[in-house]
Amino acid sequence: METQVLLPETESPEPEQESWLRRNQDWLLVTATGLAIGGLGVWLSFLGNPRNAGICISCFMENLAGALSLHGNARMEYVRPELIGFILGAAAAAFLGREFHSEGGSSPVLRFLGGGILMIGCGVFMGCPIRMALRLGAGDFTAASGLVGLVAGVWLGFEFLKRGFHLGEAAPMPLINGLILPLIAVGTLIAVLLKSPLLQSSLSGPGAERAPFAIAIGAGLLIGALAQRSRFCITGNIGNFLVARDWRFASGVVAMLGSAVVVSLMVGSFHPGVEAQPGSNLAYGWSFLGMGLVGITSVMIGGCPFRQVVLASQGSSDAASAVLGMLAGAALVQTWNIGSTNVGPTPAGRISALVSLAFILIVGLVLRMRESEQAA
Amino acid sequence: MKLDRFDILTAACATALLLAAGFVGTSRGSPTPAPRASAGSTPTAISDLTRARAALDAGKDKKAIDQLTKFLAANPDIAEPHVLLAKAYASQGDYATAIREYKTAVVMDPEYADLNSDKYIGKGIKSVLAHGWAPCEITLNPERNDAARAAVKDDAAYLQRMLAGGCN
Repeated sequence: METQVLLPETESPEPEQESWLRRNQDWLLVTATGLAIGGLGVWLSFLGNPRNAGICISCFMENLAGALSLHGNARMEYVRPELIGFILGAAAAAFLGREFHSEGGSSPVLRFLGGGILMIGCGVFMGCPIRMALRLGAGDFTAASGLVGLVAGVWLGFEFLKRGFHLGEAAPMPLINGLILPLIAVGTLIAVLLKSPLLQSSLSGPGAERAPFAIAIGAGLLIGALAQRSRFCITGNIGNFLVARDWRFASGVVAMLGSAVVVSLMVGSFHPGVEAQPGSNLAYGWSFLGMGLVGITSVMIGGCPFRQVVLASQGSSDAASAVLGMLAGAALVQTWNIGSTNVGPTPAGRISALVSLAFILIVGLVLRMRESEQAA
Repeated sequence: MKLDRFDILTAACATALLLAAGFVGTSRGSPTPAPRASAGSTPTAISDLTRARAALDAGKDKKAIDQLTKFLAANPDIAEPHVLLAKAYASQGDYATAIREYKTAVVMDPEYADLNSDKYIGKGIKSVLAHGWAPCEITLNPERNDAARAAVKDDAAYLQRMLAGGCN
């Protein structure tokens, strides 16, 4: 600070350039994260991950739940190295940037349920918001209804926030609380490397479609670190854009979509249309509802599924509750056949989505009313 | 406690969603994949299926279809006979029924559409989809049998999506 005061402002053009970068570093970092997620997501599919699902938090959670024997679908069992990479990359970036804060205590049970509901919404849509972008980027126009639903859900969530919805303040907690998720990730990584018999692994199906381990974990580490530094959140990006009407706030989502399109074209996986799209169906209304559920729930619990993973990795026990809820939800999505198929949504999926949406609206109503009572 | 329009609208929506969930719960939806079963749960079933396979290999499509139809009446939860039926119908030129049988098999056991699986039958399905649609269009005259035509089209689209892969 002292040096800046001593230097004359007109002496060199460098300070001006530096200040532009500094002024814009937030959205530039978010854009870089979006580019990395979109590009690497497609590339990971090219290298072996399921098509249009190179990165998908809900699919990864279902794979993880299967690997831990939490459900019985033998086709969905694998500890995705990308997921471990996200956690460890974000935790490392948070430590290096002195942003690791162990805190929690803000409605943990509701956040756990919220995490489960996120997985139900993703299951009905057939993918998380990142997969939605990857599907769109590969030319799968059936995902467009999901995008509209996500925007609508985020808008509704922000309406609740504007009207006083709040899950309560988080408070500092002993360090071990914040370290639990990164430590679990380290333990899981060791178990994977030692080929522990406790972890199941699919021999066929999506769980058997894998990018090379080293590349997958490397991509996860990079994306996790970038996302922690940039605070990348798809629903947050959309919400901030809706509130501020400034395109810079949507730069992450736009960059993710753009890079997914470009890399899809480069690797030859861009097939525009609605027919023969992998992991999709033509039930547009239910796709809208599924992503709408993800949108509103994400806003209420403070971040999209990917953001919950990153927040949990930087010490938030509240987000860790949501992540554990996501794991439980992922297991239920498989066990109860909640996830949609290529035919369309299942009866269990339809009922779960409708009941979950009703539950979220009631929670929003109740917690909002409590807030207004406090104000009164 | 003061309720405003937003509260009332939210409560009404939540109630409507719960009612809709109740309605959906009592009505029929899309088929849920049946539990996967391997062929031949009893020695008799194994021999029936073996005979049907032999008939198919010998080019006796009609005989194979009869045997498989009887077999499925007693063992409706097994996917493999549907694959064999699809092959038999395709061999006879009845592509519409072949597509339907392939779809039934893949719904029951997605491994049939999985490139990494030993059970993969994608080549056969693709062949029927590639060569079979034109005859289907002729067989299922759009003016006379629009619903059947739409059903075959839906089944074909489902098979194409399954063969394309994905994470489900």
